[in-house]
Parts: sequence; C-alpha cells; structure tokens
Amino acid sequence: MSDAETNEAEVILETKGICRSYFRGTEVPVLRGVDLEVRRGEMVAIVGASGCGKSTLLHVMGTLDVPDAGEVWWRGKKIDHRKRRACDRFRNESVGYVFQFYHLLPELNALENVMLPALIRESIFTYWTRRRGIRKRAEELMERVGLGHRMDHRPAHLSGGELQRAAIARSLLGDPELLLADEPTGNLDAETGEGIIQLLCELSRDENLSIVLVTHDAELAKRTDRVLRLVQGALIEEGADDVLPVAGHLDESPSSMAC
Amino acid sequence: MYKHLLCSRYLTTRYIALFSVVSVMLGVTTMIVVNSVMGGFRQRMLERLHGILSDVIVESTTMDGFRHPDEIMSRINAAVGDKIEAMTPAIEVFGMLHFQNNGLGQTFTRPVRLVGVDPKGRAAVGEFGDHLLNADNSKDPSFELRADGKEWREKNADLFDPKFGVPKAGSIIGYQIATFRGSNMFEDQFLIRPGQEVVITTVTAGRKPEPVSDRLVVVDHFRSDMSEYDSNYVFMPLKELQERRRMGDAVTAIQIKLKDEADSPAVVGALRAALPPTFFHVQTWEDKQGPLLQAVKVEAAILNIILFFIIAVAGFGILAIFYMIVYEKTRDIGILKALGASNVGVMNIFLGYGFILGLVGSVFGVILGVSITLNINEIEETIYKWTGLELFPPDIYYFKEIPAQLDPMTVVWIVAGALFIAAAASVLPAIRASKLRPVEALRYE
Ligand SMILES: Nc1ncnc2c1ncn2[C@@H]1O[C@H](COP(=O)(O)OP(=O)(O)OP(=O)(O)O)[C@@H](O)[C@H]1O
Ligand SMILES: [Mg+2]
Repeated sequence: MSDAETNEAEVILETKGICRSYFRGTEVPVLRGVDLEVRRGEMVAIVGASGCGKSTLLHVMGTLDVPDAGEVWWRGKKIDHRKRRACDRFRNESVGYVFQFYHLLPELNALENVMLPALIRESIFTYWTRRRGIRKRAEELMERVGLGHRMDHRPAHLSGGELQRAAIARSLLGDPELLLADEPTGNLDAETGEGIIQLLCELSRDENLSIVLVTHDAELAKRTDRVLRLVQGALIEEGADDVLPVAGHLDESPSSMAC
Repeated sequence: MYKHLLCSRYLTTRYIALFSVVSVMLGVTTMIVVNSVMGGFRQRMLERLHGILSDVIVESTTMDGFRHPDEIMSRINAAVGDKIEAMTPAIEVFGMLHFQNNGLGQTFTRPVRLVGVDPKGRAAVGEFGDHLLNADNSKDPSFELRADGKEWREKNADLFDPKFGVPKAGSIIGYQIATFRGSNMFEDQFLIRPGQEVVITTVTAGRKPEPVSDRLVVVDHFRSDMSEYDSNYVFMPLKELQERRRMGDAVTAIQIKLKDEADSPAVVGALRAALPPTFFHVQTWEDKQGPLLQAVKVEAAILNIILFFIIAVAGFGILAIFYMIVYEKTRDIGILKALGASNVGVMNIFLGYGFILGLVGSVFGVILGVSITLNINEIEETIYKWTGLELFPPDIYYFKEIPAQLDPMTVVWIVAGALFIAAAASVLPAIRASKLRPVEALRYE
C-alpha cells in the first residue's frame, strides 16, 4: 500500500494525547500524550524498548485500560471508557486482540478457544442456530494459521508457537476491523513467523483489515506501512526502511527514567 | 453461551469443587432423614391422640360432672346434630389403683386416671377397640371376663377367697401400668393379667368428697403406645363408676365424633354458644393436646434450624472453594472480558456454577435421603445385626418400627434452602470476579 493510498483511506482509530501513569510509590508516567491515527487497511508497527509502554498503549486502544487523560476515537466517535457495555461490544465485535502471552482458556480446546468471541457474543439460543457457521469459520481460520491438526487439543498440550497461532485465529474470528497484536511473532521460529507475517499482510491488503502490532521483529516491522517508535511515552514516526535498533541500542534508551 | 460452556467445563475439571457437592449432599440427606423421622413420629402421635380423644370433647368444669347427660346430648344434637356421627358420655377422675402380684409377692399402688366409659359407645367415637389387647374386645369391646381371664382364674382358684366371688365390675388397665421390662429383657413382663383383681379408690362427688374403694376384675389391657395414656388410664364401666361415686346419672365429659373432622372448629364454636361456659368446656382434640403438639412443633423447628447449619457449613465450603477458583481463574476472567464478556456475564458464570453445584448436591442428597428414609427400618436392623447397637429401642419409643414419613413439600423446601445457600455462597466470589479489571487480570502470567 503506497503512502498516497494510505492517506486517502478513512481513519478508523485515533488516539489524542493519551496519558497513563502507574503508581509505584511515586507516580510513574508510562504514556505521556500519545497521538496516533490508524487508517483502514493500514498496517502499523509500534516498536520500542521493553517496558516502555507498548502493551499499555495497545490496552488503552482496545478499551481494556482507561487512560488518565486523552481520548480514543473510533470511526469519528469518541469512545467513552466508562460505558462498559459499549466497550464490551466494541472489544467483541470491532477489535481483534492478540495478547503478548497468548491467553487461551485452559478448560477449552483449541477450536473452542478460537470460537470464544462468538460464544461470548451469542446467547445459548442464537448460538444453537448459528453453531455450524461459527464452527466452520473457526475451522477455516485454524487451517489458515496451520493448526488444522490440533483442533481438539487443550492449550496445555500445544507449543508456544501453536498457542500464538490459535490466539491469532481467535482474534480474527469475529471479522474485526482492527487487529491489535502484541508481538504476534514473538514466540515463533523464522519460518512460522514468516507464515504469520504473510497472513497479516494478506488480511490487511485483501480484507482491508487495519493492524496495529507491537514487535521486536525487524523483519515484520519492515513489511508494515509505518513504523512508530514509542520513546519517553510518545510516538515518533520512523522511516519504514530504517534499520531497527540492535539490542545494545535498546538498552541505551534509559529504562530508569521509565520512558 | 460461553457461560454454560465454562460452567460445565469447570464442573468436570475442577474436582475440588465436588467436595462442596458432597457436603451439600450430606446436609440435604440428613435433613430429609431427620425430618421424615420426626414427621413420622409426629404423625403417628397425632393419629394416636386423635384416636383416643375423638374429634370434639365437651367437658365439665368440675370433677362432679353434669347431670342429665341425655338432655345435654339432645341439646348438642339440636345445635350440630347433622354433623355428628357418634357421641358418648364418660367420667374422668383421679383415682388410686392397688394390686398384688403373687409371683413377686409384692403389692403395687399407683395414682391413675379412672375413666368410666360405655365401651361400645367409646369405640364408636375413636379407636378404643383397636387399642385393646384381647382380639374379642377389639371387635366388640366390653367389660366382661373373656376366655383368657376365666382360664387364669380357674388355674389360680386357690388365690381367691370363694366367699367374695367374682367382682361385679370389670376393668381395663393401661398396658404400662400392668407390665414392666427389666434391663436385658426382650419382652414385657406382666404384673397383672386378665382374671386378677385390683382395688380402685376414688372420691365421691358432692359436697364433701369422701374416699370410696371397690374390687374390680381385670378383663383386658389398653395399649395405645402413647406412654401418657398407657401408664395412666384405667377404664371401668360408666354405670359402676357413677354408682361408686354416688353421682346419679352425672358424667364429666361427652366425646363427639364428627362426620367430617374439618368441621371441628365450627362445631366447637356452635357448642360454646349453645352450652353455658360456667359448666362446660368445649375443645377440639387438638386444643386439648395443645401444649404437647406445640412442643413437638417447636422441637422440630429448632432441630431444623440446627440442621440447616449443616447446609450453611457446606455453603461456607463453597464460598472458600469459589474464592480459590476465582483467584486461580483471574487471568481467564481477564481474557473473557478482553474478548467482550460483560461483568454480569462473568458473574453469572460463577453464580451458575455455584447453583449447579448446589443442584447436583441436592439431587444426590435427595436420592440418598429418600432411599434411607424408605429403608430406614432395614438399615436399623442391619446396623443392629452388625454392631449389636440398638439405635431405636422400642421400649423407649413405643413404636415397633421407626415411623418415617416422607413429606414431598419438606423435601422441596430443603432443596430450595440448599440451592439458596449454594447460590448465596457463590455471590461474593462472583462479585469479586465481575469487579476484576481486565488489564490487571491479564497481568497474571
Ligand atoms: N498495573 C501496573 N502497575 C504498575 N506498573 C505497571 C502496571 N502495568 C504496567 N506497568 C508498568 O508500565 C510499564 C509499561 O508496561 P508495558 O507492559 O506496557 O511495557 P511493554 O512496552 O509492553 O514491555 P514489553 O516489550 O516487555 O512487553 C512497565 O514499566 C510496567 O512495569
Ligand atoms: Mg508488552
């Protein structure tokens, strides 16, 4: 997707001056005014040192966390974090979430975990009438992430990479408009990681899915439309072809000042 | 949908929670068994009391009684005749019973309640006949010596002074007055049998009560299995008692059996209006036994409260286990919320889980409780056979069998209580789960 194209597409998610601090004895600011626009079909990578607040930002964007200051706008409407029902619906229907630590439910098998967003959305009766469709879609997604042979395995019997892929399948089940992915390739070998990267690119290109992903993977970051670096609680745009900092560079960004 | 799925998964994967099922089950079982046995006792007791007392009793306010019972009875008939099936006059006074047991060489003197009755009339208003030991008397109650009594007298003719002859009046003596049972004895021993003689002493009616005594021949025993009656009642013919007490045709009570027992309160009301209250005291049998029935009721209520604590304990078990589960599931709760589950939905998972645990416990409790209740006598027997422990000695309880009676309504209430407690115990953990903030929950790794 070229820059020109991207600029024309509709902005679906926008954050304005997001601030978030935590209290650890004293107030520790993590985000200090994050402004971000995500357009339809756009793929944005957020990079930054460990502990600089990338996950926190993703949580705020997905209404899981409430910012201390600043606003999140969804398709031209301001999201009110206090309206719990609206936020629940938003999370269920409009966003797909891939967590840094997979987060599958141990009591359900892989397929059921993938179906979970639909299970949450449907009541027992509507589920009954739509169960075939839901199941078929979940199976399709499992195949797509390469887990077709692991459908009835419990999470405890899956490897880290398989869990990651199940989590990605789950995030796509509800056909979200925005995918928030926290290190989606963090636990995968180069080959599987490549598969996932291709999948994400495909989704963004063909199905116009907007993706915001957090990554330490230079390979993945390179393939996105934009790379943003979270430094000292704010986002700085980087050239897409800039080389990502090496580990030594990472450490330079002083973590003691809780960027 | 996820609520049902997770509920059932938690149920089949968290075995620790099944312990709370067991505690609910035991609580429900205990309550059902104890209530059935208590209810059975109560029911038996009521039946017996009812059988002895008949439906409505018109009593004199004085031991001297009232004259012209026929006239009173026609007044009663005029007032509520259409509702009456049978009525009979009776005299009840205090007396003294004295007899000698030749085998033991000992004499016995006991305070008793002396009841003058017309045996056939008495049998018509209640279960008098059923409580008589001699089968002939059960069919056709009378104060005549029956075969067993005559036989005994013939065999032991040497004990009697022929000069005195057979006493004119017969008497029927309460079973517990006439028998005893020592420790290690399996059968009641008779102190006095039909054919033997007793001396009764009572007082005359009138201005100055004077003691009078007379010899009576024992013709039968009265056994209602209600200790209060069996250890106090001595029956004799109404006419004879009137004569001894020099009270003419006066009686102290009229017992009335109604066609429909449900009319009792109405009949009592009508009779209270028809008869002067200074002389007559009209009561239903339940009024007359009021304090006793009340005591039984209170006893049952207290016992139920205590037993309910058993289920409450099970409830605290659920509470503790649920807190643990919620704590353990913090991350999962965060996931569910992150995927759009509402707070109420998450709360419902745990409420439903608690409710289902309660339900499963209750169902097993009902199955176990009902089967124990239905087979309680066999179980008691088996325990006796194996351990020699007699859980239910008949000489204490007066029933040959444990009179368990299953009341469906009671079972329903017990189950409702158990379900309520199980649900209530899961409320706190469920609220805690619903209050969890997703980000914090997700930080658990
Ligand atoms: N609930 C909390 N209480 C206190 N501090 C918190 C809390 N959540 C996050 N933090 C702190 O906020 C900072 C940002 O955390 P966050 O998880 O967003 O980092 P991150 O950029 O995702 O790091 P990583 O790359 O290692 O995943 C960290 O220093 C973390 O310790
Ligand atoms: Mg992170």
